[in-house]
Amino acid sequence: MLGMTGEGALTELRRGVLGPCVLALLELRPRFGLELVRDMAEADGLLTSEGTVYPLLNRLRDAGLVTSEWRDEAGQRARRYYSITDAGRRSLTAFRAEWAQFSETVGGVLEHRSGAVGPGRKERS
Amino acid sequence: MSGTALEHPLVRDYLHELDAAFAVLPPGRARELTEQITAHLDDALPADAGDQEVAAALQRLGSPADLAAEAAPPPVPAAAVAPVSHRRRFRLRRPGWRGGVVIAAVAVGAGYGIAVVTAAPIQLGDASAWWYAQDSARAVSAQADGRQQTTVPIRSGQQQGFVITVYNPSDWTQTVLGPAADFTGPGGPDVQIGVAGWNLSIELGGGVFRPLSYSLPGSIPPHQTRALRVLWTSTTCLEKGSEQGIDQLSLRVRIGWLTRTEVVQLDQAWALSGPSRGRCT
Repeated sequence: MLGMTGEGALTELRRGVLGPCVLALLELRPRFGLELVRDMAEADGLLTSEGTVYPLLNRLRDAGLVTSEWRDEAGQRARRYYSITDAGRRSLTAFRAEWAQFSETVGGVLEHRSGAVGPGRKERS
Repeated sequence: MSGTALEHPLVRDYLHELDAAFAVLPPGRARELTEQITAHLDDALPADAGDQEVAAALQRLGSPADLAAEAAPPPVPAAAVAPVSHRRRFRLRRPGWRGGVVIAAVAVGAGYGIAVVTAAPIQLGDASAWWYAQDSARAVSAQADGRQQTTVPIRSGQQQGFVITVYNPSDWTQTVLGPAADFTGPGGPDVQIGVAGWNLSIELGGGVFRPLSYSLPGSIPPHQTRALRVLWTSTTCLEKGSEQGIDQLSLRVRIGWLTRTEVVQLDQAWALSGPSRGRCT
């Protein structure tokens, strides 16, 4: 239904929200790479490519929103665990507020609930 | 790496392709990503994984070229043009476009959001100085617990402060709005921040700071350096021989539509020493 524009937009949409979603998962507890990827994959349709999580994690870390450390737990190979920082929690809180408002606005347009498509812009059939 | 799926020919080929694709990235970033992807495969695949299982895991991971593109520095966001596109396309008479266009706007907004959220925070620059000449004249530098510290006597009831340079490493203009709500200066909670309007990309001596005009909010354009002044009225009560200082600044900073708190780590602590004289709290 959406055609190429819609599909491309959905891909961009997924990419755009991955960062806050990663922060939201790390808010619950630290995770290692594959664990994080699998948790993201459980959210159907959110992750189109598992590998994209890693560049994203690095960007989040560069921004001070995520830290990583190696953990060598008994009986398991050493793994790099990612944790959210205080700055990450603050950014996530800010994004949640903005996203709620943004999605409400777009939802209003899609459902014709708001004045975004007013009488002057009414569709002619 | 013996006895792991990393020895599988498909994985080896993939990692070779990864090396080639990551050649466009900074070496440190390429090494790190290769390590992450390798660890991912090592975790995801059993040592005896078959061709089909390996191929499926590699497909889920994404092509090396796509990963390299994802890891490359992000382009300048198109957010500035998105709203225009959004408005124009709403006038189209074809209902089939509307859903796609709205989703495109959502996507641009979301992309904008994450770009803003992940923008690298303001960093400390190279130059700094006590703001007032009487403090500069009495400043004592010392090393304590592995940290450098500069200390001046507290001048109770009077204004004291320092100036530093800060650098905006991101591709976004960052606007300093003031100190974070919970930030307290060495001399008390009444902290005033000011940002000078000039790009200071040159080596500076302390005297260069004073003629500059400081204001708030203070914008720092992408990849530029500004002088940032921190002043406070010293009301803290300090006993003789005691000291109080700060080694980081918490700032409220606006990037696009997002306001966040950024912590600038200072390369030395800025401290006041007692005793306080006159009224203090």
